[in-house]
Amino acid sequence: VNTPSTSPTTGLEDALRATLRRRAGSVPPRADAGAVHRRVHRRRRRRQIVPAVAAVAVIGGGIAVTAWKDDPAETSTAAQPPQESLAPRSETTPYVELPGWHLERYHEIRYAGGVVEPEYQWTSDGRQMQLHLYPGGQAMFDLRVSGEVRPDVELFGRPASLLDYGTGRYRVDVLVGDDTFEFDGERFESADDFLAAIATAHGTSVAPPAEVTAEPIEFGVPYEVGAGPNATAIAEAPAPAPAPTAQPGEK
Amino acid sequence: MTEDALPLAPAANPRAEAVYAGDGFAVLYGQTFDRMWRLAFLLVGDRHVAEEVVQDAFARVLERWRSLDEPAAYLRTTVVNRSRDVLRRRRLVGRLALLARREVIDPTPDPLWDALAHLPAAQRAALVLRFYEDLPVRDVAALLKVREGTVKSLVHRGLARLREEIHP
Repeated sequence: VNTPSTSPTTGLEDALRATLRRRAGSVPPRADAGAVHRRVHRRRRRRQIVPAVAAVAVIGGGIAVTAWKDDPAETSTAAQPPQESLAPRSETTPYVELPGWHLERYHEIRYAGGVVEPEYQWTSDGRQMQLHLYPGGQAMFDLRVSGEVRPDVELFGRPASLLDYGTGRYRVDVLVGDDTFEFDGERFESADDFLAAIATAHGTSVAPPAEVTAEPIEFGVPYEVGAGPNATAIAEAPAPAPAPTAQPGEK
Repeated sequence: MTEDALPLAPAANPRAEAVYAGDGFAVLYGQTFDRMWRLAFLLVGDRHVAEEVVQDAFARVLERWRSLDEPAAYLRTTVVNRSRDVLRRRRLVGRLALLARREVIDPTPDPLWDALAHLPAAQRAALVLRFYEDLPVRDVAALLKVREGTVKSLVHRGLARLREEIHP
């Protein structure tokens, strides 16, 4: 039972072994035992506060629905003005600006089926920030935080899931509209420092003035810049310009 | 040294906590994190998710530290189970393509790795445990909570599907 197979698939098995070993060794893991202790602490906190947060969410959701039925336009601007700046205002997710930070790179990861995941990389004073947008709504948010809701922090007026890697690196996931915004930053003095930097982010319809890197679609299908709405916007944008103001109720 | 070789639960002292008086968890963490991370990465195909899975598994171990006789075995089982949960949830979300997410560090095309991402969660898990962990069939069966015959079937069908994917 335990002897290696000698079937005609041996060549494939050897290739699979080699692939798995190469892949496993391609990315060095990060080890920080303290992060586990912090996670356990958060778990225990969550068990205490999740019921309360759920109750608040239900009540808040009811109020929001009632207000929307009365006047959806007024609700969109008056109820949540800070976070609306990042909420999708059209068919595509708006571009994101991080004031005071230098945008090093912007690119889109495109998957079969038309799924597009934009990714930004900024730097500022030796610090690094990466933003990856995952479409897919609540289900994707749950996936990115491994099914855990950790309302330890608030970002853009929403509960966010903060992960402290323990070496000045932090990650926070927050669901805005249908997209999970996943910020991953390094060389921050504290979680507050990290979150304060992110809190200044806002949306814009102006494409980032960065070099666009054409990424291959998964499974080897070539991707040409300009194939998608974001890429088209980038190609057509001659230079940065003031972002137009989103109109209430604009789709 | 693998976690299997660690003196985690000697017969004379079934309480792991007693064996690792004081800082036992840190010892386990330091000696097994890399291996568990690699296992999770191969199972889920995403380095960030793998890190989450492993951190979560260690958190579960830490929470149950006093009651675990074999923390390393419990840890590996938890990593496998959490990884399979993630894969199943992805299937529900309809985002299987994410499994083959391009790694920034290694963007080299790899048909076999991409094909692995197309496999059902159980087949992928069976192949990874069999051909990366080099576990015997009975151990794979125990980890996946299936019969040995089922493991053989999963491996056989998984390899067949990989062959179809890379040599259509």
